[in-house]
Amino acid sequence: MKTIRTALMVGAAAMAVLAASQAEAQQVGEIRWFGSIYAKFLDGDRRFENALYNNAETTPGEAGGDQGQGIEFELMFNSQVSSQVEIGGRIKARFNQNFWSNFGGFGPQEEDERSAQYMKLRGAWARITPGYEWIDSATIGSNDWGMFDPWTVGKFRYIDRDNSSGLLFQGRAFDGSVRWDFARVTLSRLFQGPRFLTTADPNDSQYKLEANDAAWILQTRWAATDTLNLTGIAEYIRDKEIDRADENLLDGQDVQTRYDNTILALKGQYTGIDAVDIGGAVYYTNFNIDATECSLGLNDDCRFSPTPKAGVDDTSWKLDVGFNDLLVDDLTVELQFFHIGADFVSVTSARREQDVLLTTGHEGTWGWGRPDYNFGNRDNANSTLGLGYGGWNPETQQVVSMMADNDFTDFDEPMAETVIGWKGFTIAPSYLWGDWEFQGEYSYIDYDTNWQACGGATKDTCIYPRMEGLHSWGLGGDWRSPYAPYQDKTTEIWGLTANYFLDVGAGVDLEFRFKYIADEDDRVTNPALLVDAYDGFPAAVGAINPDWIPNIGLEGCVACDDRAADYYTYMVSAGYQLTGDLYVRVLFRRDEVDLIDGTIDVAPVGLGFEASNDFGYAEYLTGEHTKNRVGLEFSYFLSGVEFGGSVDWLWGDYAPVFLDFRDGQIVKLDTSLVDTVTTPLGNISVDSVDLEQYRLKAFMKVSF
Amino acid sequence: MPGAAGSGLPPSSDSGIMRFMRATLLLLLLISCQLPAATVFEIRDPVGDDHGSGDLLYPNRGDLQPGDLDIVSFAAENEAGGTWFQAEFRNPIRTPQSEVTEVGQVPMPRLARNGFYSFNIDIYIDQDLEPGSGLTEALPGRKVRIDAATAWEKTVLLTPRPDIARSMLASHLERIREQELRAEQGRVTGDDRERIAAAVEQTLTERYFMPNRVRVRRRVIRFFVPEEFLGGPASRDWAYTVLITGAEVEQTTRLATAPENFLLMNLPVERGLNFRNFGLRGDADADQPPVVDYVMPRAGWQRIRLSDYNVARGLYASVVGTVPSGRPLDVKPRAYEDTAQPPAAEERSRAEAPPREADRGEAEPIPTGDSLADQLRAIRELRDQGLLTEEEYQTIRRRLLAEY
Repeated sequence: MKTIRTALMVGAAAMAVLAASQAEAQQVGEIRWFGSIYAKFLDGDRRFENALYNNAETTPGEAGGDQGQGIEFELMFNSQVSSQVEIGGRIKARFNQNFWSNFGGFGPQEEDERSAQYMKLRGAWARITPGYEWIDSATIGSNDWGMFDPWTVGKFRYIDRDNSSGLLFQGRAFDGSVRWDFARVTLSRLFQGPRFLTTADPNDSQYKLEANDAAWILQTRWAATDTLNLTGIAEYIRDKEIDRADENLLDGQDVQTRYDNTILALKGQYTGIDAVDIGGAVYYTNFNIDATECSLGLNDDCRFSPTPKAGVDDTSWKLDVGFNDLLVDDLTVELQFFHIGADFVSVTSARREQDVLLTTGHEGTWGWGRPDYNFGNRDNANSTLGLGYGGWNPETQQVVSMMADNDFTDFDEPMAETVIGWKGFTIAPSYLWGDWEFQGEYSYIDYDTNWQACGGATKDTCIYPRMEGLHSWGLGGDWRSPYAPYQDKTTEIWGLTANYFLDVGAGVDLEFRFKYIADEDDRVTNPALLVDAYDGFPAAVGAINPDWIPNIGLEGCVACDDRAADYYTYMVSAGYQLTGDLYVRVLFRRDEVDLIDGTIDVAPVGLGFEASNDFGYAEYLTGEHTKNRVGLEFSYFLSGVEFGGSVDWLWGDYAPVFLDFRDGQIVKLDTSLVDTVTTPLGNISVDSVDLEQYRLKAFMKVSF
Repeated sequence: MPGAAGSGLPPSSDSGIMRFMRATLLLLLLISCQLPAATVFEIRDPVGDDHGSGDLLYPNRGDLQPGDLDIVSFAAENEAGGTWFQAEFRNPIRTPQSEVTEVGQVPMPRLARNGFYSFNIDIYIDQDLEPGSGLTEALPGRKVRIDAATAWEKTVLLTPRPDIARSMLASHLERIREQELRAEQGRVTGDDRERIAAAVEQTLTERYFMPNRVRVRRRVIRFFVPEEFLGGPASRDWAYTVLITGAEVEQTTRLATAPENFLLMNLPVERGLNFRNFGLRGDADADQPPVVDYVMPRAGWQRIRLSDYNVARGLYASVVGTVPSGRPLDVKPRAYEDTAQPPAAEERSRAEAPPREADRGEAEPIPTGDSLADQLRAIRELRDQGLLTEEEYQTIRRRLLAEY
């Protein structure tokens, strides 16, 4: 009894202290400092130390690391200068390649900003709240733009949440029923334009013009009723360049438009019916580009670009319907219908972190793995880019950007994939049954990008950026370009997840998961176009693989290049609160893929020497794949510090299968008497390949 | 045609609509019937009042929009071993899937494991309805207190990270007690700390519960509270004070802040719009509570209750619970609390009366945040219900018109 009384007294006394000292808002003139220290530890058996990220940065040597330790210090501040003015900012020392082994610097790496351990201003802003009726605030400086629609101006984290800067004005009208946001967002010269540039030639100091390129956006949200919201958005993006035709500087320099991009949107949400929620959005985009910027074709200097090479316009829409307690209690069903046009272009849309579709999409574990299944060649930087065999663990995020971005991520973060051109529907029921919770998904996806010769006469006039050119090839991977010169593809996704709370001890969180994805692509369907598709373009100039074989025309066989990929995922996990501060989850996951990527005569359309074994850009992966993963995740909290981590052990194999076209039939090759099979991607061993990977990520986080 | 034969690939001739119909039929076939559980009570809350005292603006975030924290009903169902509480919001509840933390980009589902991440629900339960019995202090960071008429015996905090919240609350209470002890006896020994930790642990066990059995389905979230904590099944005759705040999932380690500024997993209110906090409309006072919604069936009372605070006098806004059975409460209008003549227990409508600063010679609180017409209507309603005298009504009306 005494203990109980003591406990109650403690509670009462503690609370009384709180009551006695009323917290007040930040005082004018006071500067408040806050921040964090974040340390990361990577280990793995890939043994790459390019950077302290597992990510798939597309520049060899700059990322894709799995080794080392680093620590970041971030300091933020804000101050209420007056009742109407607030300022803030953030400085940070990042650890990109700044390993502890750098020993604080004073070596050659200090000259490299990626390794130097210096504090840098990462963001600064001033916010004015004038107190007028018509405007709530004006923010000048860095921002994360999270208030806008991800199809228009998205949260485009580069390395930090607020790398982007601009002007933001926000206010209300009509007694608060209309809220508006108006912004001028400065474009990043690092990526927001054709060829990932906002000027024609960044090295031409006399003629480059980047600093005033911007997106202008107005978003108005009208709460028509408590249950009906409507949003209208208009955005205009313009990249200006020096007009070289204007040779007279005496009256100022004329400019011309390198590209511009208009996005119009109308969104609505209605929640006025108990059993049904309805939401929808429709978008129109228009994109124009200077005709001299890009030549048409697969391999010109606009091959790596987040925009088409010619002007396009298109519409896109999605409709969401959610049913609550449908037919029986505790059954909810979400429906989403969507159509994202092949020519949808929104240069400032979200690159990751904002998921625009209901579907769980493809599995990140097969995304950009690039472990070099065929040759295991460490000297081949292309084949070793990325995360290795394990890929990304979480489910993928869908974004409407050709700049889908997975740089500076780790294997425990979700992968982003572009969904431009996707059309179809998702049905996602959820049902509670006692301590069980079931969630299902069925998605059917057709593609607006299904076409022959890019919708033209030949692939060489394609206006769409090819980028890596691995769209719909192999196990997955090319998340950036949604385009393939030849495509006739459908995808089905089936998923079922069951969660159960096992009431033992502190309670065990059990999860069971199954997912099946069927990806089918007939690729070339018109025999007359086989030559165009498989004519060996680009020419084998520079190819150093002597076995590289252009297979012109595939002997007229349109089925020879067909792709069929069946992905299976099985997972079981158990999570438990071991102590008040320590939560642990263990899991086992198995993935299987049955893949046919055409016959042995087929290589990705448009890939020449890049597909060869010496270049390692594409791989021969037809056959049966298995991948097993035992994972351990933990999070630990101790007054003032938080730890978390993941460790994976992966193993599996790849049993190659070889199909050939003989006597009018596609047949499986008998490989019992050969060691290798010659394909356009190299001489592929007939033996099964065993794969293993171990990887670890742990972090410590202290906020103050 | 060579290509027509022997591809080995299945044809895909079904239309999308046919596939959709098949999937829907399959789903319906899989549905099994389940007996509905008995609802002990349900308290409705007005739609569209997710603005605290009327002045709160949602943070500058696409994933936290008006309606997200607008609770429209709070209910309970008893079953063997405990109670399932249920809250329904105006908008579908956002899931942590695809979100990452700001620091370290940790996938949010790793932290917020129960299927939600954007709000907290505080439930202060008065089990005896004895005035003065129980505690009136709300959880840290809420900047409100619970009216003495519904002083609580048990608090349930539904928060995205229950384990972290409990650990932080323990550290916070220990720190306060240590400060007290240091002030009393000049030092705190290791033995003292052990005793404090044990006492705090016992307090937490007996007084606070953070559910980790949680089910999210679109607009509705359900969470289980065991009988061992409540001492029995939830009752319609208990008073429930239910508050909604925005959740700050990453705010895990800011314990070093002054105790009165400590926030237990909730987003603060600050001037200006930011993604880290709720903003304020116009030139509204920045010291108002960060409570976005407060379950109070009667429209307008949330605004009045949450506006009634006085920083200079150290008074938090006072919120009163609701008794689902309608059992009368003995609510003392706040202005009388330190006077010798508290009003007697009155009928339920009176029980939810707003504070009456005017009776102490101070200005009557004025509903704020709505249009002039709304405010005039609100004070007229108060007058018609006998909660304002004609003189008070006219005084406030004149002030409103003068300030317009």
